[in-house]
Amino acid sequence: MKRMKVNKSALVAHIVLICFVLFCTLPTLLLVTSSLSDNDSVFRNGYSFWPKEWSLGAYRYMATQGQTIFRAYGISILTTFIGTISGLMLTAMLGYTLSRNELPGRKIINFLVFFTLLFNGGMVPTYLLYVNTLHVKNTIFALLLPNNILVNGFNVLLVRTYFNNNTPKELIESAMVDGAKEFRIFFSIIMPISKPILATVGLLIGIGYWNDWYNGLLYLTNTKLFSLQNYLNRILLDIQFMTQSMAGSAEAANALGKMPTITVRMAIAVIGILPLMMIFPFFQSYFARGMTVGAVKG
Amino acid sequence: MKKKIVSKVFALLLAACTVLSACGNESGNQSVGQTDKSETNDTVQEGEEPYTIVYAFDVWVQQADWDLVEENLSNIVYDKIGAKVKLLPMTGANYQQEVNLMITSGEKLDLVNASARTTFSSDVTSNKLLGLDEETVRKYAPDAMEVIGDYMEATTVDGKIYGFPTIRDMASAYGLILRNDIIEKYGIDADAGLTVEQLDDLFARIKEGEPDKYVTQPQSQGTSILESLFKTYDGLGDTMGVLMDWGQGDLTVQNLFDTEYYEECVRKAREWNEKGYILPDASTNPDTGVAYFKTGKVASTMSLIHPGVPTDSTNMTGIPCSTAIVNPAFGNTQTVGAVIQSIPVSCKNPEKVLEFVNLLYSDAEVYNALVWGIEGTHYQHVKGSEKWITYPDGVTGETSGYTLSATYAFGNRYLSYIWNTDPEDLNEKYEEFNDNAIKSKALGFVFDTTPVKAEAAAVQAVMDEYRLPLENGVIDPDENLPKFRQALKDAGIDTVIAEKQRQLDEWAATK
Amino acid sequence: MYKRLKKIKKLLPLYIMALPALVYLFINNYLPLTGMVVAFKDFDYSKGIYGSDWAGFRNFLFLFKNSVAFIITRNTILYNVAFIIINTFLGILVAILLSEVTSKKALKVYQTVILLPYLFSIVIISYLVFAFLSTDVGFINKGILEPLGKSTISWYNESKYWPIILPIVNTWKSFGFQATIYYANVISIDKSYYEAAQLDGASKLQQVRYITLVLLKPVIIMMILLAVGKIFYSDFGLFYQVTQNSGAIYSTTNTIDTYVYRTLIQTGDVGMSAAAGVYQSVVGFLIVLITNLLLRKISPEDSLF
Repeated sequence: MKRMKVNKSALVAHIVLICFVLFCTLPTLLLVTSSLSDNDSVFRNGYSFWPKEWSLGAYRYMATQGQTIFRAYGISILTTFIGTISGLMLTAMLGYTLSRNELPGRKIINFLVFFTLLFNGGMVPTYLLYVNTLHVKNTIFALLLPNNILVNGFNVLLVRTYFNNNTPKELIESAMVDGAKEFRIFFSIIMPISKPILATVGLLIGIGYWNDWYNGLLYLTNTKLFSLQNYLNRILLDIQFMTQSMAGSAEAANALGKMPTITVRMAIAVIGILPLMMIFPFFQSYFARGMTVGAVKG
Repeated sequence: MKKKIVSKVFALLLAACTVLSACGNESGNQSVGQTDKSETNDTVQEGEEPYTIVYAFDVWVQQADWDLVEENLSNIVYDKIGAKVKLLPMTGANYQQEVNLMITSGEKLDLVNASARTTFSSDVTSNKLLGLDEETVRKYAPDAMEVIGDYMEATTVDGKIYGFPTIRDMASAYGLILRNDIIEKYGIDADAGLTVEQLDDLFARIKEGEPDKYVTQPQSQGTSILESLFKTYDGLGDTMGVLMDWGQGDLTVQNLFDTEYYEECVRKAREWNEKGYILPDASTNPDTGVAYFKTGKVASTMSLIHPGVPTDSTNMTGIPCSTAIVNPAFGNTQTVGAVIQSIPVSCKNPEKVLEFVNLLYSDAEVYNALVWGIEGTHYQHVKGSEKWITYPDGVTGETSGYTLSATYAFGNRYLSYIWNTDPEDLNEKYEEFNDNAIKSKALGFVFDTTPVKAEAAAVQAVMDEYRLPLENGVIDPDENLPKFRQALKDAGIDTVIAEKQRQLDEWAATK
Repeated sequence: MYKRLKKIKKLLPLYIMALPALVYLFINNYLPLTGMVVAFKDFDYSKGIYGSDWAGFRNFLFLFKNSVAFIITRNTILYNVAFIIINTFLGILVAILLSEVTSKKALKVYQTVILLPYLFSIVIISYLVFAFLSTDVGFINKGILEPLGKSTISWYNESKYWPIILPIVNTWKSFGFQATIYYANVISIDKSYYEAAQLDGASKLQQVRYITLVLLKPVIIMMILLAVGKIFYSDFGLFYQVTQNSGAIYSTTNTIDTYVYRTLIQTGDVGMSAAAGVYQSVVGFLIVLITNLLLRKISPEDSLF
């Protein structure tokens, strides 16, 4: 009887989740198939899930855009790796500190962190700070530091709330009785039992770094440092700009004329996201592990 | 114990400060030289080394061989005026923003391309660009002034010169780009031009005869039929208050949207749209324009027209086409100032930069080195022709590292070589086109919106909402035109027009 | 006093742990804040931000100058409220459903796929939406309505559809993100609670109601409060790119951010755009302060600060 019940709820879960999966994948599928369509055929026959004429034209066009794309992959992987690890450390340490209720000044710091989510100095002052004072322009730091990807108040508060709710206070107390120092408590007790949130926040920071193109747009003129999304987004924005631009139209159109616009736009999305899709499952084993730890913990 | 911790903290803080300040100092004078080899020039002390002119401009597509072209150009310029050149080409989407940030932060920047179609007026009022007195310009860039001639008015504000309009198509005609097969089939006399009445008839015939094609489309997403075909007014920049009839009458600023002309245009657009002549969703379709034309799905494009358009269109779409003018070439501050080479306030050596600008207007070697690249690598002369050039042997459009060909973007296009797909006398055609254009009486007037900027912003918002749908015939004018007119009044268009009239009268008095 | 000092001393390592992130936030977020003064200045490139002349509140005027002010404020708030409700509901729902899945393979697939849309940039999403909605080539018109013999719909010219389209697009993009965050919290709930409840004969729904939701309360409150702080902001890309900036549908798609962008694109006025940002931040901030104050009265442990 009890087994039946469990199965029923799991079945409902599967059915509903599959609906959500379809909701997510169908548009994505249209995107992938149109990236593989013949450009003119899309104009003639419209977008469809099963194109009348298949073509690799868009990918061929992207390939002619040069070797830069491989270099850009490298830069993306490097910044995502460094950024995620250091960002996660900083975020977790601050979030944990804020979750300790006995800490004097905690409310003030909390407020200061929250404040950063609502107010910002705007693009110009931020640019001045990073370029004139910190001199990050055209360095790898331009991709790592600005724009709160490294430490975001949202993530800090997320971690804080998690630690607040899910860390057994007795665990910390008993460790202290055993003479453990704060650092040790954090690194060898708290971190291991908090994998679900660390994996989640790590994932968010990682996606943040992988998908960021804004920093590159502002702080890089040296194309050698372009990350993948910088590179792809510039193409995308340029297509958009050219199609909407009226001034000097003939020259804009000249550039456009060579490009299979519809399918290239879609191909750009596929090229940018494919690698993320491939590493996702590895990340997720942490979720699964976190789950068992969560179960054991009590 | 307590002391120890305090001292620890202190030491830590001290260390942090030292690190920070060290970073500050080190990079302070070294800038970011290490990562970008070409920037090392900037950091060298002036006086010891030649001045390097950093030139930022917008391009449509980045070129593989920028470094080569820059080096070649730099050497040529160095031999002539003893200065080096560093190019900072940026693609259009983020050009404006990058330049603004660079100027604000005081990064080295000596010359930029601005445009009266976008922000030139506010660039001037917010002191982004350097205003030079005529004497200085005459001294360092005499040839440029000579070549530009009367067009200098478009960039002269309150007696100061804020830049140099490049010599290209200084006016715009409006009309149709038509497929040649359509022209033949329907017996169109393209050279004679078309009237709106003829268009009514022609569109009806094409609609009848080409069931698998849309008859026409505006030039691009976000462009209206009014702006790409019917335009016979001088918008004086922002179209809030215009001079009707190409600015040929008296200098009375009118509310365009209250005129009968506007109502007629809007009704015509509505009529065409309802008859199904126009590509559906043209104003919101991101592929409106070239992308559609290329597929052969539309028979014509309503477009701004100048002598280069037929070949350009043919080249980019692969479909042979010609142009038929509906409204004649017309020049005003915006068409003349479509591209302006200006010196930003952050420039340290305007005199040297002026000398360089002078070369772009007077020296074919410099001009062509920038526009076409290096002879033998990126182009070669067609045998027996001084003007005609083509790809060097073994190089094609796909393999060439430099296909910029932005003749409009720099100096004086009359100096340009001609790509051999264009007629050899293209430059003469441009000259003729420019000389024959109608010129607005207000050519040279630059409106400063600062005194009414809240009203101008509000009016802009109203125009954004109504103009495109009305002017492309998407919404019903009977219902929406009165609403639009009322909304403009509520937003304060009359205040803006009054201010514009005041400034225009003042400007006219000084002439 | 001495006791307090001693306590601080004991907790010093915690402060040190917090320091790096705080230093970062200080530099990245607090140092540039002084630049907000530009909202009150007539920006002049030759004088810089701090040297420009004061403009008082003149830069703010355009936000309230015309009848659009009401519409953009209404749209911004209503859409945000709708997004908050939908996202919170779906996020929690999907998180709970995910926690019911025992097959590891299925779990991986679900988790990966629901996060997929979150990875697309908004420009791409705008093209994707266009692929569905275009009159000439869109899937809905060409692939569904035409074969059914129905007349096509000009989506980009009909304002009435957008209050539905935009929430769908926004949900598509962000529910996976929400679900991922809630999921981390759901799976960390002590399993013994559920076991005890099962022994007492509680149904699944009762367990969700009395255990899961109760324990998620702090996270939910935090997430909502943060979203409320941004209630005067709107996702520019969603309202500008996805709608293809179509004027005919402004009545249901114009928000504060798109309005500011459109009005300033011609002039690029630094002061006015800063003024808009200040206005949005301050209003959002006040709303959060009030909410937090109430929260402190009602359930102090959930207050944000």
